[in-house]
Amino acid sequence: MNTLVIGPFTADRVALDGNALVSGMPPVTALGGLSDTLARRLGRPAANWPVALILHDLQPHDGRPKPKPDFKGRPGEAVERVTGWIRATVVLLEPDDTLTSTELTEQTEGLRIAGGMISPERPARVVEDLGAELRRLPPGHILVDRTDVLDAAVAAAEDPLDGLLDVFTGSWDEQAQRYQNPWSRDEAGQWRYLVPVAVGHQALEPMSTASPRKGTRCPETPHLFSEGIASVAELVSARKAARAASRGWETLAMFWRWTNDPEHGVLRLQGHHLESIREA
Amino acid sequence: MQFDPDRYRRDAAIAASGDPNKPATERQAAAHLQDTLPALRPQEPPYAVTQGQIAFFLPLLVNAIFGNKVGSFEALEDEAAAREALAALPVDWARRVVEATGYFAPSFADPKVSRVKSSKRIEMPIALGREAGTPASHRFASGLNTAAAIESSFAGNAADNRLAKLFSSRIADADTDGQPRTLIEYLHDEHAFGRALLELGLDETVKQAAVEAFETQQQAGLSAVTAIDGNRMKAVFVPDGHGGYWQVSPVPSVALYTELPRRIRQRRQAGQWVRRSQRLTSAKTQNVGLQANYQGGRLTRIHASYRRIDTSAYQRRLAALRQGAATFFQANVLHDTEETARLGALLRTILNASEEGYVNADIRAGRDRRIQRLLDTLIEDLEAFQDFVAWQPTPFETEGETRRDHLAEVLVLARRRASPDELDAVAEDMAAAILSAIQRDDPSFTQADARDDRVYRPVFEEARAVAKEELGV
Repeated sequence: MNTLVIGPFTADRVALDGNALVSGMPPVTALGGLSDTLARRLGRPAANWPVALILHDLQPHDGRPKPKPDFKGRPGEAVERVTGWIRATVVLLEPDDTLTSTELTEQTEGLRIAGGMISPERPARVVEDLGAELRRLPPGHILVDRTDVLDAAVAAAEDPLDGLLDVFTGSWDEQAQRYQNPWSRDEAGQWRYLVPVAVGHQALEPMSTASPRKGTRCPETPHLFSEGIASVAELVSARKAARAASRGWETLAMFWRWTNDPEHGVLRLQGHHLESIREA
Repeated sequence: MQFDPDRYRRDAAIAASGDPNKPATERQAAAHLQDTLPALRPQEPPYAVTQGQIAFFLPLLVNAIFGNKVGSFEALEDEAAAREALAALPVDWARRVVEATGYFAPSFADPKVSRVKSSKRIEMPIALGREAGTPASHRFASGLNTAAAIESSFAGNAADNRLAKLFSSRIADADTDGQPRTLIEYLHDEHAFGRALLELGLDETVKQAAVEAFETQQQAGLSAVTAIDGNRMKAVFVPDGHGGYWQVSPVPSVALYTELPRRIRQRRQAGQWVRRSQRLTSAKTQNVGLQANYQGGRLTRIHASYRRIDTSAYQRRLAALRQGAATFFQANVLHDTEETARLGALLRTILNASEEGYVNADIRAGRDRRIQRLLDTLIEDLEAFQDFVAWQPTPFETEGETRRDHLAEVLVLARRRASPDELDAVAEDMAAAILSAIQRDDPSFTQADARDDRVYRPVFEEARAVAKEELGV
């Protein structure tokens, strides 16, 4: 299995909209799109390569973009967007083990992440030891899947929306003089940096009967209406994870890939750790 | 709220003023009823009405919706006026209104979708229904599994708002389960409420048209939709796991669009804090909902903020270490943290033990645990700095002669061959950083307190042990 590292890179006007529930982080679905684009450039359709994001910096832009005039020249109504500038690194696992650094650098030219054009600071490369690479990168956070935290919160709440809100609601602690949230601490009482992220879609119609529709991008591919879903992710310091004796980077569910559940109509990216990917 | 015909005037007057001792005037109370009767506001529970009271309630509802600026209770109760308003409804109007009422509205995402040409609308409705058999996840919040005060919305023309309000008015049947349902659902189920509406003057053909359109939405669901407006809607490719793709078009649900801001608001009013982001989606409020007084067109979401790992001071710290004058460990890494505040409180307890209170093994163990955590933080900071230094070209060019230069080398280059004297120096620096952080947090913790042997000794001993473990031979 090849480990491909793209970055560190900067990208401007990256969509931080997430979906109708959450905003502020690049959506995980964008990582799925990036992995898919790269695979297709290399001639491998629907490859679903595991992909990880290491975020070094993120600065959201506030405000309204200039609305595009519509076809009659009237100014269109503007939807206010949340976009931002990010400095990040993307790590992909290529299962075929055939790619060289030179080929990868050629194929990553003009690549976009969440709509923002990638401007690399270093050429994309194939690396041997990801642990050493993580220490070599600028300081940053790995985006790790924590759907387990969401599951525990939903089990304790009345419905999934309350469960999601509970994870990100702070209650005033008079003694500590600050807002506290029980979900922000692990079993050992250590603080953990949880963020809401857009991870995929809930299909609004049965996936088994999906058929093509007119007006879509491909006339043959089955089409589904869906609603965006949100989950919980943790930001773990990449260097800390690289040098940690326990909870090291190999054990973190940091490699995201599409994992679909047709029974419940869920299409989402799920985080896997390295071992589980190797076993699969 | 239970509807009582004998008391509704008084209740309205009290509700309009908000003070039971000072009821509002009739004019104000009637205006208040006009706002609340359609029961679409998320703050208000809809009225629970018994089947015997419905003949009185319906004219109120119809007059509240169709009457312009109702100023008196008589005008609201006027049955002839309600009959006249209902009898004037055309058939195609009813069908159009029900077709444009749905649980998912593409126009939330992009207001331009509401401008879909009428010929295209037949293939791609501007509001989507909900199929009964659609599977829903139990883990992730969506419009399929969230109970909301407002579940459906009307995305059609503003001119059609009144009829849409009537059909979407939610009333609870107090004689049965008490669950609020919309009038169109009562019409569809041949319920007593639907029959009363017909008796009040709603034309049978209008009812048929509305019920047929509703049935199509409920039974055919989204499978009846044959097209999307590809110029304005997203279609995302998702691998299906078998080498192919699905195309997915995200549309937001009315339930989450209205329920998320409502629940965030409730939590904030209860003194809790949820970080949110608010964005305007469109200036057209009728795209958002029918509800009177709902602040429409604003998309509220849970917001994630990112705090980067700050290494901006590292270059300066490196320069300082090169000069051989600075200690590496800094109190500002620990300053204003919970651990520091709690250690400060424990040390205060220990200092006061001779006068009041006591010290036992639990308190001492708690103290040591806190010290350990603060030392972990310092070591983490050091390791991050080591990573930074490792990729600097020639961080230390000259071998210094002073103790501080040795210390910097021991720390930063992690030589792992520190002498006992150097380990003592490192431990002193770490202890000084911790005690200085406590002093900054708590001004009553004096320099003398920090030097007190009961305070300094345990901090230093722990630091010495950590330094030996991290930097010793």
